Amino acid sequence: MSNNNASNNLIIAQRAVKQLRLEASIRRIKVSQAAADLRNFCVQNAPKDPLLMGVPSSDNPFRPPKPCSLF
Amino acid sequence: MGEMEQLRKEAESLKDQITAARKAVQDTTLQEAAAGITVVGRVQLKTRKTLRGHLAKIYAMHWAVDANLCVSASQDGKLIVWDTITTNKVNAIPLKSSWVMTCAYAPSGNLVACGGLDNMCSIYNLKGKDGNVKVMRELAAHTGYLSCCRFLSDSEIITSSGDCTCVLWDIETGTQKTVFAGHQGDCMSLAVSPDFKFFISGACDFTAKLWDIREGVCRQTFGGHESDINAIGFFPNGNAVITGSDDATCKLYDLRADQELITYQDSSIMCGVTSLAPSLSGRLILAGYDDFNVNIWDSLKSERVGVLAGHDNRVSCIGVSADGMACCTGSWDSFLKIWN
Repeated sequence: MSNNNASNNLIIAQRAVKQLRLEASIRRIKVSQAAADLRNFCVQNAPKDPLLMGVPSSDNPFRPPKPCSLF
Repeated sequence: MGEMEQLRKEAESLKDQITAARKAVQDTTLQEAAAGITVVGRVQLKTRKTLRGHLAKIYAMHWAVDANLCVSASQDGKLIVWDTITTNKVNAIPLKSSWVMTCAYAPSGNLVACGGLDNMCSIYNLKGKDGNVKVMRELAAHTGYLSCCRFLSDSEIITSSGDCTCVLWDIETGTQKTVFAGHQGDCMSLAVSPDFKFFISGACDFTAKLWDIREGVCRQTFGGHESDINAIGFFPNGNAVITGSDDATCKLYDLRADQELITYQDSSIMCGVTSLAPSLSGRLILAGYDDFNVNIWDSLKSERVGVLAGHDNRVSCIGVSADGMACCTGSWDSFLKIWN
């Protein structure tokens, strides 16, 4: 019977509205502040970012310094 | 007006409210905020190691917190734990089901997990008494494939599934603690926040959701992608989320401003994003694509600053080590490569 389907759809719709109410009610900060924080985090942590700064061979665990032999 | 019609109208009205609230805080763009910063110079990473041993497509890899070990999963039916410095295989674990799609390393280093078309998440103890690696627990309850899993600790793990839900499990008892339902499409990927209080999921409904682990609720939903989200990750400070999609773009969403701040796209890129990982500072985003390459993006300027070309098939997974020293790529060509 369509009754079961109808009440299921109703429950789904009620849940969807409840969730949307939750998501609508959150506090939002200004994009200017959010963007500034992201930018500042990147800038402050850049010196410690090996992939960004490059890794000198002497400090690179994946690249042991080898003496060069030519024979 | 019937109740269904009323609810439908209220839902539309709430969606409009959210759109308006997001616009109300949009006093600038990330591009403007980063205008004074120069683009990162060309990033040229070299393959330092090639990890050979899998006999079929690699679907997933995950670094241990102890930076030199990682685990990979292949549809050759094996999980391999690698010492990435020596390229030795520390463990080669045969799986019951070869249709594996994900793997994870526990922060403690004691456990690894995997799962796939068997709909289960299998937990393996690497530090068993007799030295043999055995299945410790099989977490079964999902009614769809296991797409991703991530440990919170040795006693809790979160999984995402093709059944459109994510689940928090108690590994000890093998039971579901919390089911996170809400996505309207297969959940493809998940990532845990640096403080372990939240996780984000990306799904085939084109949205990403932020979940409160303890409360068991979805706090925010992010749209904008035009196709399945295959990859998701947290920006290192925990305040933003990066997604990668079949629509060939990656996006950055800020959690506190509750909106998309930037899209990483190029007209020359027309294939889907399979995987992504931010560098330690978040300034670089490394993203794997279906066209066998990894593109490196300047996260603040949205410019491509490097390419990792070295695989002969799709790059299916990527990860940056915990200390940021290296990036690992896994591919359908059966190899993993370590770059820096």
